[in-house]
Amino acid sequence: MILVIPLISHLLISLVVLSLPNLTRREILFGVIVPSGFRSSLDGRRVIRRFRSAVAIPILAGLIAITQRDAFSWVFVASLATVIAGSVAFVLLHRRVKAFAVQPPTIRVIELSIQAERLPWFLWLGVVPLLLLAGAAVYLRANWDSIPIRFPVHWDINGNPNRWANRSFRGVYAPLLFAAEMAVWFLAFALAIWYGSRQSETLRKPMVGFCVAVQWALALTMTGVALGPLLHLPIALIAVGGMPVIFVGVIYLIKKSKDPRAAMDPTPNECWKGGMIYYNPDDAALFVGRRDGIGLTANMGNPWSWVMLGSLPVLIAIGFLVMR
Amino acid sequence: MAGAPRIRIDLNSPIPATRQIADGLRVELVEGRLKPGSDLPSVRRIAMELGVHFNTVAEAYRVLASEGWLDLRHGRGAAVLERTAPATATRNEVADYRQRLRELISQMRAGGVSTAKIAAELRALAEGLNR
Repeated sequence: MILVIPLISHLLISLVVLSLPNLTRREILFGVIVPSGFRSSLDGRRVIRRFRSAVAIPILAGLIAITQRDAFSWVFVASLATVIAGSVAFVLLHRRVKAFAVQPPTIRVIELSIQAERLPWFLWLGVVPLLLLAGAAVYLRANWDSIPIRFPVHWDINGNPNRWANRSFRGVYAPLLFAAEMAVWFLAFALAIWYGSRQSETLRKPMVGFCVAVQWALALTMTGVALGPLLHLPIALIAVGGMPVIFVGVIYLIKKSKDPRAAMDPTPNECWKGGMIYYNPDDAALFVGRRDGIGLTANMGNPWSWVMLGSLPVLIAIGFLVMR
Repeated sequence: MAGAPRIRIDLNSPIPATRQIADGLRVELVEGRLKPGSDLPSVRRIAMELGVHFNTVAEAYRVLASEGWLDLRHGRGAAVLERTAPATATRNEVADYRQRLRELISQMRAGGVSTAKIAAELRALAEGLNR
């Protein structure tokens, strides 16, 4: 158990980093639109090989460190080194592949017939986590006297409690408040994706669904944490929480991202910084398809993207301050 | 000619996007595919789908509103107005349009379109005017 969890975490992260060139559609390689067939050409195969060689070093070094030394101390360093190596190699190879770039079509045609855009039905499922959290709060209030004076709120990797809280408003309700603010943020984020991305964006709808899945996962986990002292829920159940929901969401996103009917990425190559960051003040879209993986990324040329993304760490910091 | 009204722009064209959008919309308005009373999508939606700035589309809408084609509604796009064409264009205006037509035809010829093809296109357009 001591070795398996860090090893699996590192291997999973390594797998994601190694598959970066394959996560995007075939016409995009290292954030650049390339001619069809480039991937299987000599140059294409060479850059992919270079990328894999660059990330193989920290992956192997990390594996050795995890197995030979203190696994828990080294898993974070090893995974971080792998991610950094992957990012640096991606940016360097982005520059190299630019020499083979083809521009996306500059002609845009849109129909003027107004189709009232109805929000996807599953967005309303995003209200359920808020109701769940509210329900848990009411239940805790109703059973206030049954809550232990002191109870665990955080556990180490072996399932042993390592942080405790007292029966106070803050101690009891903090996990629910934190989950509520995050659930509201993800709901707002889902709406921003819906109204701030092009209708032709393949992953627009799936990403809205994914945000709802994250909301559910957060609410389930935090409700488990909050009700744990009262219902004596097993720690494994709390830890697993809403993970299956996220897992299903990721699989769905991967499946949708490979849709062969998807329109070609219309964003200009020169607006992609390092192939990862989209900066185009002249594009009204708030979110566009990623070129370094699956999903959508914010248009950093739009000030609202900064507001949206900047608010997340602020909310997390507030949540942690409340929960401490 | 039939079909849903649409606009087409080329981001690589030397013609500013604002003018391309205004010109494209005017064609749909003049040819009656956008009928009085119908709603146009919001500035935000058009800008997003075309991949241009909000102001680019807003300016095109303002141009058409100043020509009497559109009624702009704050935050809700625009509605097509019943517009009566001016009784007669002035001699200078006609000369200006002729000059623009000549420029366009020259551009087509320079781009390799044959004179026979240009003549056929003009004939087809002229026939459309009589319908």
